[in-house]
Amino acid sequence: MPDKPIAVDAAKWVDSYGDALFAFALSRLRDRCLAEEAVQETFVSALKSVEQYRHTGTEGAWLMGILKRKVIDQFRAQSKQPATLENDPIVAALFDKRGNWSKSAKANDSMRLDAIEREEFNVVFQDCLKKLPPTQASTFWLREVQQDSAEEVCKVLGISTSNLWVLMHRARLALAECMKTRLAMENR
Amino acid sequence: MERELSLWQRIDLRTHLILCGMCRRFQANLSALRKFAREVSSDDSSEQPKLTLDAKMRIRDAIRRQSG
Repeated sequence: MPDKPIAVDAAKWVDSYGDALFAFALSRLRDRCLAEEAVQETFVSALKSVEQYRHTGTEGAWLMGILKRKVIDQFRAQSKQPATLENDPIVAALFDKRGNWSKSAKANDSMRLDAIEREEFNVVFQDCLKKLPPTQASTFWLREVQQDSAEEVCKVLGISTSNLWVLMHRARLALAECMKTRLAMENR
Repeated sequence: MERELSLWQRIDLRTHLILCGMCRRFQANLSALRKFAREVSSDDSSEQPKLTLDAKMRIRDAIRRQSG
């Protein structure tokens, strides 16, 4: 039996770190299944690389570091194709060819998001977020809800700063429009 | 929203918003979206999400298989 540099008690990992790792994964990935999977993969990878673990930090911090890389992998798998700058359906629906507000945007203008209740917002927001392309949804979620720095979001999603601006812009337009439409339907 | 505007860009934007009612309402909507979105995360943190018992069992199995 080869000597292992550090004895780790993997049997206790789930009880000691499972919930904390899961909470982090869920806050990023927004999906329980994906978050569970990320936690499981973290433990499995940790066991495979246990020889590399030295007591430079706590066991929990070591596992969290592995999880962060798993989360990045997951995001990058979600958005294999890089975010592109070509035409976007939302932009096309809101603005005419000269960059002025389109007729449909004007028709939808009476609905105000700043007048709605918090509870109502939460429901409609979650629904509309699901309808966004995954990279847009992740970008908006990390930047505005989790309030990660722009640099952090770019690193996690593997996108450039200018791409981040474009994605945020589109996500905002799409979310605002989706929410206005939903609220208008409900209040009819 | 993503970066600071220069002084002239700010003046330009302000003047435009005075003239364009739709843009004013649009900006108000985006601010509301931003404000509410930030509150979503404080809602989340009040209740720490936990792994289900099922998930814990599955993960323990996976660890056991790996340490085999």
